[in-house]
Amino acid sequence: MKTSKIRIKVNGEWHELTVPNQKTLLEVIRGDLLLTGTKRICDTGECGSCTVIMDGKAVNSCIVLAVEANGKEINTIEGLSQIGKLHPIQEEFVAKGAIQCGFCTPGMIRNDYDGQSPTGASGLPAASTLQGSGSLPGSMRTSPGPRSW
Amino acid sequence: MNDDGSVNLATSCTEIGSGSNTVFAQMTSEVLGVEPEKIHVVFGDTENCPMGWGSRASRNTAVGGMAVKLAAEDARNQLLNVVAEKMEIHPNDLEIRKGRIYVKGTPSRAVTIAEAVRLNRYRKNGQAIMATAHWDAPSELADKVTGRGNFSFAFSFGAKAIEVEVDARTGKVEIVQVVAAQDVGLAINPLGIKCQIEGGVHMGLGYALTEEIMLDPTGRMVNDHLVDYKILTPLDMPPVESIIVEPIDPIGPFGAKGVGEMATIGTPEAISAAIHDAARVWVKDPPFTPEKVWAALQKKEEGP
Amino acid sequence: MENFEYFEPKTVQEAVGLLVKYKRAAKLLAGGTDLMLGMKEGFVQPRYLINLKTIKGLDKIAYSKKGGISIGSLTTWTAILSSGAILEHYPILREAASLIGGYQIRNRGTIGGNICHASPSADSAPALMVYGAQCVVSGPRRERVIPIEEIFSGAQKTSLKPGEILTGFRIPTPDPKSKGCYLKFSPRKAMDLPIVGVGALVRTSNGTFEEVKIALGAVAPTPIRARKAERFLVGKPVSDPSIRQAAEEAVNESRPITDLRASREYRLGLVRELTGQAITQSL
Repeated sequence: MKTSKIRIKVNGEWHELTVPNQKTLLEVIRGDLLLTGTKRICDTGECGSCTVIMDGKAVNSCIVLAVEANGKEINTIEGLSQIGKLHPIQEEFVAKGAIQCGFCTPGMIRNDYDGQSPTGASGLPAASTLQGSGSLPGSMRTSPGPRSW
Repeated sequence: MNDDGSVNLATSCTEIGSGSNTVFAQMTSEVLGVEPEKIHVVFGDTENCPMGWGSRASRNTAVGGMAVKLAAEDARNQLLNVVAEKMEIHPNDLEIRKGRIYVKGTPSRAVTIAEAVRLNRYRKNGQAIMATAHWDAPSELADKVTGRGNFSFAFSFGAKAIEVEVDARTGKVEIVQVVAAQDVGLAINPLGIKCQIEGGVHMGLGYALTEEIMLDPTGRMVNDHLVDYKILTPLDMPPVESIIVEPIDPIGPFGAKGVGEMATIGTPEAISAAIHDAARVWVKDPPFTPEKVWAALQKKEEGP
Repeated sequence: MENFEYFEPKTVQEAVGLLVKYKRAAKLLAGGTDLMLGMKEGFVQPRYLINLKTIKGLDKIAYSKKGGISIGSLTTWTAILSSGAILEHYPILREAASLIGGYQIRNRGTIGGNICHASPSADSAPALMVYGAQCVVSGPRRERVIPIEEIFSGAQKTSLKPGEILTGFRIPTPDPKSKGCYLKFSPRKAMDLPIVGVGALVRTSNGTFEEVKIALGAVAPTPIRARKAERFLVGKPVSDPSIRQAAEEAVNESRPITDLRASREYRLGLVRELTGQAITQSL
């Protein structure tokens, strides 16, 4: 079979899809589920902008095949905030001006809110683990300014 | 301006993350007395905003901002005129603040901005509160013969102090601390400016230490992945202290100038000088990779 | 990426069977942090992809004082960093794991994948080498166990025969009197491959080197043991001159290339410097 049927739970909702085997989790998230908060930049697992939480761990969704995510629980940036209310870590990013163009921000936030802090429904804010710029190996910052990246 | 007192601001300047949208909302708010949250900035598509020249040359705040200010002032005058007419007083006797237009000295005699907008519209020959502005910054291209001119209406100045540690055994350069001072005219959004400076320093440090486009003899990039086109990671960033210097510019909107490009400038130069201060070798071709510094140190040891 | 048929074997035998059936057209998928890149770039185009993560038990860590540790080849770096046994008994391996990639890579990348990708600069190789790790290999014939050094046969080449799968590592308990480290030299503090990597494990007694293991990454087509340097040091006094001489031996055993990351000369210079540092830090 060159395609596979998968079931994935994204932000609390189960989805059933049939995907070509080479389709990545990122392509499913953005293309099939239309959750475009997760970004695609390098597409090779080097920049972190596609970071989602899979079964409690931050992963680069561009190098996870959709078939590998079968049966797993995924949380994207959209799953972090309720409508109209930001998660404390998002508020912290805003307060510190850490958003700028915002393209890499969802990946940064998903990497920080699970990279090392406890996860779980308690929603324990990882804002306390934000040590300025020191806490996010695995996320590339694309800075603002006259140069676009 | 909309019936609820909110503002739609269509600008030719494109927000690329430097915060120009926020600055324009702030400027509009300052002039019009409307809260920034009620100002919707529209940008980026000539289908619904004016054609722009681009977010470069550090010009959004300085040049785009002046157009915003002029348009806001025009709208302000329209608002004051309609209220003055209604109250049968002179527009100069009116004040506009925090969503209200009131008589100077008698704040109870007031209407809300929203009411003023509706007042202007819902009457015979009524009109929307609308304004357009364009600003051509005063500059002179260099004369072809004399070479004299004034290319920009304002010039920015900055300084960077960088402390490094050089591991003489491997050539690795650690950045201990960066202090960046920048003359921005009036700082419209200090947090935004500090973030710009930090971002610019990040770019400057990458340019100085790790970033390089490597080409093969046919011109193809050989390091076309981020593992080898090395952008500094958050772990590599040193503490950056940003100092905002505010000499008020005589021409810029509210006295503001530009920020963006200056934020990077001076970084590689300061690092090169710091490496020399630490290790007594000059390395001048960025990026000053550990290998280059090491090679310079080896050469120095070998002597002439 | 090209389309492929995808398999989720439940046992090692099943996976071996698939490899035997599809031969070179098949590829094994562990964490995917290297393979996915190769597939996206078109360097690797398997027609059959075999996911090893669906086989239960390949990611277990089990330690006993007598037997040492066994680490399943599908163990992720994050799992290695979370292991109390590795923290206590194999800190060099833990050090290496902590220097790989970033959080996302460590949550997916596996130790077996790292070794089987067989990059000359594989970060886990020097640590495994100085600890005397053995590789457990399953295949169409009986299971075999080989020293870690023998699994590498060239740059990005393993000595695994057709149908064989690396299922895990066995590492004896190190001598409690030995100490070691892994030094990874790279321009940045994360997300880099090493320009040079040095692993060392040292035991001294009465001011003399009793046991020395030194392994180098990124200075030859495969990770290597610096055996001449090791033999030189055993029996020598713990002193700067002997350490410096050992480092020279290590330089002589290295045969790095010039590539986009560094020149040959610089790599040799780093071997000289970092071997000395690694031995010193292991005292």
